[in-house]
Amino acid sequence: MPHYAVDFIESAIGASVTFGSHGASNATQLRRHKVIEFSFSVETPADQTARITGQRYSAAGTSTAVVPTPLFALEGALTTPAMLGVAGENHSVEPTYTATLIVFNKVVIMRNQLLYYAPPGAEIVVPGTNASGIGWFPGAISSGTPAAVAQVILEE
Amino acid sequence: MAHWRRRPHRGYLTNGPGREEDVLTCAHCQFQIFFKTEAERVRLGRCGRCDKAVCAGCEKRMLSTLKCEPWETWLERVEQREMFLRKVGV
Repeated sequence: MPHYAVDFIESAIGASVTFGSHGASNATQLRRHKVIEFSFSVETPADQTARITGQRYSAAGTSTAVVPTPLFALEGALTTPAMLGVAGENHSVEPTYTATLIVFNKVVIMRNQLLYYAPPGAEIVVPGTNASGIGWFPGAISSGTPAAVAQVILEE
Repeated sequence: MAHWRRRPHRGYLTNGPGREEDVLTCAHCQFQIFFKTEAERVRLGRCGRCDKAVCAGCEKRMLSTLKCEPWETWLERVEQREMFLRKVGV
């Protein structure tokens, strides 16, 4: 299974404002993908905290497309095929979140980077259905609107 | 300072020195459950039917409805529904 890196860069994060999302789309073929790793950090660390939330959505909203970068080639292949799923950042229209389907919720100190590695074999799976996926946003933030960088490693 | 030892079959989360935690996935909704010690782990919710770790929300739901739906079943149900809707042209 090839791995892909998706980088989200947000110039000013705010509470309940999605900084990145990834999901399946009818535009290509539908295929499941898994969240293998997630990292989050801010560019100007200060004594702030934020609750980072990952939540399933049923409509992707409007965003700037981010092209997932293949990390290594499949065994025996010279190149890795492009990821079928889609990703986006800088949402101008928020995804339609499903209220009960929060998959990640963690308060982080923004002086340090957040690194998350999924439990092997029990990763968060995005179903292969159109316009469904996971959006990442600060559920709450103590103060300020710092610039943030996040990266998700996906397996498809 | 002792380094956090990553255990097999568990995820891992770090937010700086001293803020390392193990991660398990809720067997029903895939919510990521964070815990630091084995004592915390044994206190986690458990589904009486599939005997897997579940989050507090799913444990509460399980106790009131006695319904066990592993996430694999949920995933298949969601995908089959979409396939059906596509077939009928909705």
